[in-house]
Amino acid sequence: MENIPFFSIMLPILSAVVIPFFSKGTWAFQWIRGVQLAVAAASAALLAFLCRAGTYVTYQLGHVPAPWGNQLRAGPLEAVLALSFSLVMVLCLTGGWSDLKRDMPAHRLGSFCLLMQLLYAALLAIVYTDDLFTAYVFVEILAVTACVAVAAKESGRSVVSAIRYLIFSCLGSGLILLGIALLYSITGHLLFSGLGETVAELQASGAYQLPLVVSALLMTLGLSVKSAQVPFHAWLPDAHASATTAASGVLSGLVLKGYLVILMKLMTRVFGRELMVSSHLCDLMFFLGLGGMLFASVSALRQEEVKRMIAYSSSAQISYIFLALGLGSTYGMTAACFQILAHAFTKPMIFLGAGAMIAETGGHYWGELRGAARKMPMGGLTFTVGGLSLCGIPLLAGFSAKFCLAGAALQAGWQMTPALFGLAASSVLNAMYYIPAILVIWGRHGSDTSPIRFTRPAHPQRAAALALLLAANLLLGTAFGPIRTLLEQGVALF
Amino acid sequence: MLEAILQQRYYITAVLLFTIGFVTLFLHPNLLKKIIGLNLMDTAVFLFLAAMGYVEGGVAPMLEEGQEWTAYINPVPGGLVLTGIVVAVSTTALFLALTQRLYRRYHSLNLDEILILARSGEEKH
Repeated sequence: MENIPFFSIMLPILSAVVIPFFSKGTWAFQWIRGVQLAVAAASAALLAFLCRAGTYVTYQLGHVPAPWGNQLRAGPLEAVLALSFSLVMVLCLTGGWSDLKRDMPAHRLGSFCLLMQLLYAALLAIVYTDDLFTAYVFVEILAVTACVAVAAKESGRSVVSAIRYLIFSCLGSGLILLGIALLYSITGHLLFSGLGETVAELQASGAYQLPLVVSALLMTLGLSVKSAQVPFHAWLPDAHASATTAASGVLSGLVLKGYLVILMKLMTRVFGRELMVSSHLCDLMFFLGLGGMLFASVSALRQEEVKRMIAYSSSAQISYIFLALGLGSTYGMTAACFQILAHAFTKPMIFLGAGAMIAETGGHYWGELRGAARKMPMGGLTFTVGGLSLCGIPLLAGFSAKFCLAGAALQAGWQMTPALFGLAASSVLNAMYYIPAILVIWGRHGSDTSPIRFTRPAHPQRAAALALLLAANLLLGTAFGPIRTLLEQGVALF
Repeated sequence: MLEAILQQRYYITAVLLFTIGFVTLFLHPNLLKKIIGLNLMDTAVFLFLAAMGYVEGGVAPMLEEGQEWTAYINPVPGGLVLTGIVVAVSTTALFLALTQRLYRRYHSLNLDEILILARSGEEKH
């Protein structure tokens, strides 16, 4: 069982290396999908094992044991994240494949699959790693692959947004690297466990307090630039809106979460929540989150283009996670994890639904999308359900995440009132842009009185992927209790 | 005061270089200068790491038969710098490739101009 984390990282990397030998893009596609499903199955097995055993496993890389060597660590939370990231990845690629074939020349499809597989491997490595510098290396791999995924469409706009994405991403990684160098120079460790012990000792002795806080601040800022937290989100809307559908879904749903997983690891395993609270870094994250929830939603209100609106809404949803982490409690952590899962399953669904409607009508703007859902009921349905989920309609994933967050806020001190206010206000704002959008896509075009067309879907794979995402969303919404218990167990062992 | 500055000269230089690189990458509109800024920023961190691992009077951390040294330089920061250089080279390569694409399409290296051109091109489209 303890080998599963290692193999779930190595298998995607090795399978990516052989992709150039496939002559057809479709084969490469089936190949990476197969590997991702295998990793998902292995993660599910690992999850079942860890939950039953109530423990975590470590895997030593190389011959040097723990305090100096490199290792992987997997608890229930890591297994849940790996499982859901794998499933979302498979569903995104399956649902976006028809758009990919349209957006890209046939001989480039294999390269795109290679790229996605490397991105996926980097995500898994970030989830499982127990070493700060390994995490940094895979953060860079994730950023580079994500940038290329944005540029892959090769339209002028996508290259421009890719370069802006790259600039912000480099700024972020510069800050993270400086933070890591500073932290290493104080502690002399790179493994999270060793770092955590040394930081605790330093805190008890009261030495090096300022460098410690500066390094935590640098890393928090670097990771928030990378995860598009307002006010560092300038690159996000263009990058996510100009990419092809599958890439948009993966970028919004998964890539942003990878950086947050590292932030969570730093918070719990290295700096400890007491230091984060006492140095006001938690407050910083709380206010960044609160500001982002409102500001990104207001920006989303003004967007004329459907994908840009969804991208801004991603930034708002990321802010929920920052707000939850900023509460600085175990409840906040659980709420953050729930929001990560809910958003990972919801946002790709909305992007795929919107992508299906865009492919059907050919328009990217609301004016051109009037009545699109009547022509493409499956895309319209998933967009509607996803939108309602983010507004917080009960029985859907978004509601459970908000409920979890509100529960965490009630346990907090002074943060309770602003957090609950932010939650309520941003839910109303979400409704203010998603509900008109839903009305537009189901509305009639002029004097058109034709009924909704229920034909056999032109792309059965896309329809199946959308249906599965819909089911996952409903599952997260209805099976709230068991999933929260699972996440609580995971957070306790994180 | 002066002594403290002299003692910390590597770190002070590293932080200064980092700031220069960061500001260039963030604010300079020319894409090539942005790339230079990025490299400066990364190099500053490498200087920081290398200076941190240096032990006064230490030798390279290799065991040689018959020779006993009292101090060795910390090898881990060297390893980190090597890894960091690989990462910096690959991001620079990607940055240059994207810059070349943009230059072919818009005949400019100024990001502000390119943004305006890209927007106007989109409206025409």
